[in-house]
Amino acid sequence: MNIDKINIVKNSKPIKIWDLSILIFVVTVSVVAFFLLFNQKGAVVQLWIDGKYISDYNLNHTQSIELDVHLGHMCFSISDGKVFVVHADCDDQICVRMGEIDKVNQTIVCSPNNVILRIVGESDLDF
Amino acid sequence: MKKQYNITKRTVRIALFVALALVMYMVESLVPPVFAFAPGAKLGLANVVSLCALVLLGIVDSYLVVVLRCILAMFLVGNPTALMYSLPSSIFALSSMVLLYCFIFPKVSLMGISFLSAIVFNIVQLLVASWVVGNIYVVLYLPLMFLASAGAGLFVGLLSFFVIKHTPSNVYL
Repeated sequence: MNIDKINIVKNSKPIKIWDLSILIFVVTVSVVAFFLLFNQKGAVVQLWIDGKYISDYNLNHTQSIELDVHLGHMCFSISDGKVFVVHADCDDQICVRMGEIDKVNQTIVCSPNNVILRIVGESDLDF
Repeated sequence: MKKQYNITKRTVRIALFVALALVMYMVESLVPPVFAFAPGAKLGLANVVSLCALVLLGIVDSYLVVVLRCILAMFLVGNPTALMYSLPSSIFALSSMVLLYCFIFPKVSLMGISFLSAIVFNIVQLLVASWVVGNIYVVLYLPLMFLASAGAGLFVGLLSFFVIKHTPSNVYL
């Protein structure tokens, strides 16, 4: 604890030109990176459980898939080229709140159940 | 300036800050997520307490506050996996706060420190998450998390600035 420094904090401005420039830089880079990363419509969604590849599902087929996972039950749905988790037995519900995804490289992660849904494009299909 | 060490005062102060951080943590879990676009992003109100602890209590005590807060929060929520996410990211975030505050503080303000530590927090947390689920593609959420850290970091920084500005000096002297 340093009293002089506390007084500097008390008398300083809450934000300075350096903060603003770092902030604007990071926000710009993030927005650009976001649009570069997720700009291509996906073709197939891959299902990974416990870090292992299980299977993939075509995004053009409307279907609903039920899974048995660590904490119980999980259900995700595919329609109009979009994937979303309908229901999951876990305590944080982050995967349900992530909503719909439809772009290549987008993922839905359920870390308590160790389930990943990842969208890939046509060009990745031979993988 | 004479340095007075009073171990009881110090313990009580640390306990007070830990209690405050836990209350912030519980209050935050009651409000709905602010950043709907970023998965699992939170406002991080408990970081107001971490930042204030660093400024008002010093480096060692702020580490104690953060570690105790993470461990006790695990007991409050009753979810041991939460510790795996919160402890490493909180410690790295606090370390970045310490470095920034000690070496380049007058150049960057509290809002900048809080924003950069939020970024460090999110990087570490996504790395832990991708290690846990065994898939590195989780890291692709970083841009979204950075946008959330911008909002959350600025809010937390502004809040801590006002808290420190208006805390009477007999709290930390």
